[in-house]
Amino acid sequence: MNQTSSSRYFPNAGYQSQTLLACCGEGRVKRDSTMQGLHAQGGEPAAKRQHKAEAIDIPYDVLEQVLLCLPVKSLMRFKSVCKLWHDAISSAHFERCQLQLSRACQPSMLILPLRMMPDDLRMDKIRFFAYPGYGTVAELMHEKLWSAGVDGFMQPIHCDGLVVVSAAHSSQIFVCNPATKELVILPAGSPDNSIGIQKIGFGVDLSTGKYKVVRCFWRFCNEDMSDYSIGCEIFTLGSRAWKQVADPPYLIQNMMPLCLPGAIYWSAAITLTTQVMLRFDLHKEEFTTFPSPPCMELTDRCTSLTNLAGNLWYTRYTCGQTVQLWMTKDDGVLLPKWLLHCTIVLPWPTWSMIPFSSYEGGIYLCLDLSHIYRYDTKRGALEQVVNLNQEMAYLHPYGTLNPYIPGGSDWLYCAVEYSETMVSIRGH
Amino acid sequence: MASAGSGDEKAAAAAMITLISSDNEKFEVTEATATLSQTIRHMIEDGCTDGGVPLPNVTSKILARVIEYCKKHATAAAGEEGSSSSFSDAAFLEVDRAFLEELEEFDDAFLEVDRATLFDLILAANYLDIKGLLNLTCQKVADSVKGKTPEQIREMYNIVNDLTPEEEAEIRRETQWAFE
Repeated sequence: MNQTSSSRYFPNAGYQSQTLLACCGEGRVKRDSTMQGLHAQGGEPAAKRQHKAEAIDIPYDVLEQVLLCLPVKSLMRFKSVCKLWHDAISSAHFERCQLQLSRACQPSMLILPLRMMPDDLRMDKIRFFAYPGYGTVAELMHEKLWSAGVDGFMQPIHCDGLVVVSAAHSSQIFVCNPATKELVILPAGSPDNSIGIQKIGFGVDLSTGKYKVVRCFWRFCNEDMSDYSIGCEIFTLGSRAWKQVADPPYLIQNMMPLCLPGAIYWSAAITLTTQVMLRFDLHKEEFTTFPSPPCMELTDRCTSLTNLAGNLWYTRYTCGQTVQLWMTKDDGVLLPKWLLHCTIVLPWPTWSMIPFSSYEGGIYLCLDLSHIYRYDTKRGALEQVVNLNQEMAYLHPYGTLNPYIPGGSDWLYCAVEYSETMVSIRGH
Repeated sequence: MASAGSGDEKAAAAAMITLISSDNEKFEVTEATATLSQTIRHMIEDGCTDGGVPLPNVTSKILARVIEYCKKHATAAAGEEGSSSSFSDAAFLEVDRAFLEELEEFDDAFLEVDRATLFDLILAANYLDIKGLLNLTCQKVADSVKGKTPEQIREMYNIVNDLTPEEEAEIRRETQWAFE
């Protein structure tokens, strides 16, 4: 084999003379040059390096590989090691690689306590606890005190490490990256004259990488829904204001929409008794109709639409403690067809049941905002993971919180699927 | 001649590749083992491996370890292919699980090396483009540093802090919570 083919197959073949994890003094290399050629220290005499016996020379892309294995908190701390590490961790390229890894990894969970204060339904703080999905310990990731008050919120929406929390009955919406502790409060949108909850979706436009909060609001609607006007507006993260887009073709309902990367799926009414699903494309920013589950009911407030592992799921109560889980895919190839995936008998007649995560053959359900259960799809068995009120220890820097008071009122909790990233909210 | 006892005569006879370390030691490995390295895979596809593959950046000590890793994981890859068609079969899942556990134990034992060797393995994995080995070794380094302070990192790796006091103060302000 000649030299030419050798260098062709071993593009990094010159690495022995390059920099290093240790960006020791004279050897520090600017990122741009190392990214391309990795030949920064080439001319340095061997003798000069010998006194730095402990310094280990590694190419920039290997340093990046090591950094990519670290949790976000360590990365934030290591920004102050030296310039090379700071620039490596802060680069847009690194953020992208970290995001790709996060999307490929098994997700974990966040638990958000939702304390309904008896008098005004407001909380003085919002807390994000990290929970691995097993055991009885959750650890505080982020806490934000809020003198003006946090309104009672709905099931938060997660996408790429960003969590959108929106109040059920006010226009309050904020976006948080609990791993970097960045939190942005969105400006108030157009007034919503519907009686129900806010209608909020959140996802990423896959072709531009932009994150968008989508909000539908009723301008007016008469009782039999024959005369109405409904609008839709978008807040692109990094922008300053809501932007109105074309009105939805039908009356968007109170059911929480299903949020996938690329699109948001809403339930809408054609008449009082007929319903349809609408797909909002996050890139084209327009609505089209989408096949609805054959059994979709408009009025039942316990039904839900959720994204589990990139598929569309619809939960429907049949009677008492029995629920059906329907599933379909939207891969853009075949016409989506809803199939009954499983029927689950719940341990008690719940008033709320939210499937919120799925991995390794298990579907995780949050029951009555107070228990996490796991449904094993192979064995068809439903098992309790944790009682969020009575079992879970909530670790806080100031000590373990135990919000449960025997005989007192129970707290409520939202459980959300989560994967940490360094995605910046304002940076987009 | 290494690796004669593999049992499958056809496969063993079909394709052996010779790898030559920087200190000129020759290692004969099966194609299945060698192609865990993407770099070598491309060379084989292009028919550039006659007369051996010189690896001027890898010592015999490190190359022996890398081959040990590749042999183990090549067997694993072959096992996966063989069982993929009966994925739903519970018996196969049990076998897979036992095998994966064994592989994990192997990886753990494989990583019991000093720091200099670990970094040599990283460099070799990067150079030969062996994704599994690169991930494994990088994760090991990451695990050893993730709870450390910047000062400890500088100490461990002899890194000179070239941030100005103002720059460092600014970065610290922005990331103060990560130190708690």
